[in-house]
Amino acid sequence: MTEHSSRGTQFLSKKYTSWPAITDDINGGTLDAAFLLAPLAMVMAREGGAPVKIVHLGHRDGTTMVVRADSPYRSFADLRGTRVAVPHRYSNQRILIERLKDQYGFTDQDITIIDYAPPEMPAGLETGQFESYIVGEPFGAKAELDGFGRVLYYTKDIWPDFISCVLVVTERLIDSDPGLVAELVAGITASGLWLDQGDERLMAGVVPEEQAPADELARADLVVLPDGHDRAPRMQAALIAARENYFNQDPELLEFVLSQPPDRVKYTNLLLAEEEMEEIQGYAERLGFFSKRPVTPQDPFGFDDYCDPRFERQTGRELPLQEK
Amino acid sequence: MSQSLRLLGMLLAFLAAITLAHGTLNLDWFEPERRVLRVGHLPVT
Repeated sequence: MTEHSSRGTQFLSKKYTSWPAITDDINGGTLDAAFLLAPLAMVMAREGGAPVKIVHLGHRDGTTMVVRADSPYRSFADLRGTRVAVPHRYSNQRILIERLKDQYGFTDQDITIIDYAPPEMPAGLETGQFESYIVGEPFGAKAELDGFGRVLYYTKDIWPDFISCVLVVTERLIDSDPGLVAELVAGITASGLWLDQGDERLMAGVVPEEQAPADELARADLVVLPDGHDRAPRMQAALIAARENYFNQDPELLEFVLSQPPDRVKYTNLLLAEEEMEEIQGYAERLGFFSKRPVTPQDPFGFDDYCDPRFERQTGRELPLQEK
Repeated sequence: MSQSLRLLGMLLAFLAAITLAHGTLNLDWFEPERRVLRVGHLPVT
């Protein structure tokens, strides 16, 4: 939805398969913008090779904790003595597990935390590599839809408005082209409003089946809306995001994620809030995320060091919606 | 007409023919440069 702006700027998706690959490209100077796990973004701002700033949130909630459908686990308390997989040691999912440990009185010995690649988590659960996992969608819903996974918690129920991924840009880009950063942020804001509050007008590039060309080559750049398909923004978005250059997933899986339940993931209220970021930072410090450069009174680190909310003030970007 | 004017006319005719042979003027030359930004992400929310 953010791909083309009315000013002719083109925003291209660059899909990666691991977090280190993204951070390597940022540090190497070949990538200037990315969606990163919030604590990982803080660590990069503190210790990374290329200075970065968080400029906006990517979404809220959209993370799920999953156990096997045939397991006896009904609450976090039942997970004492088990293993839980998290997407990265510097993830907010890891921090959420720490919060739950605090809440349920667990010690570090009561549960084993394992770093695991998100796309491999459903198979890891199915083959007994761990007893539960917590991850951003669609990899929670995948186990659910495949029949062997059961949702233990949605983040919306245990840490409302949970922050997983944030939009990070390099300070090099901020200094060289602040207008481009503002345009990107405004596009994400507008896309989120369309997803959560939009009407049934079709997004540019989405074509009803009856109007789509028969030729496969001509259809390659279009998103074809099947006959009778729901035109709600989230259902259009599922078809768009399912494409190879975005999520490369089954559209039905993404439709499920975006609708079952409807507040499983949210795309509004994406402004950076100092209090929320400082809570994440507090856990990051406690868990030793900044071990290479610890935060001390002599070498402080705070919201202004890793966030730049200036670009959120420019809104009102028009999305390329088609008239009915 | 002087020899130099004839030579100039021939040069202009040659340039016009080259331009026509390659189609009309490439209007993209006069378009503002399109900005492109790649945004990295994993296929996960």
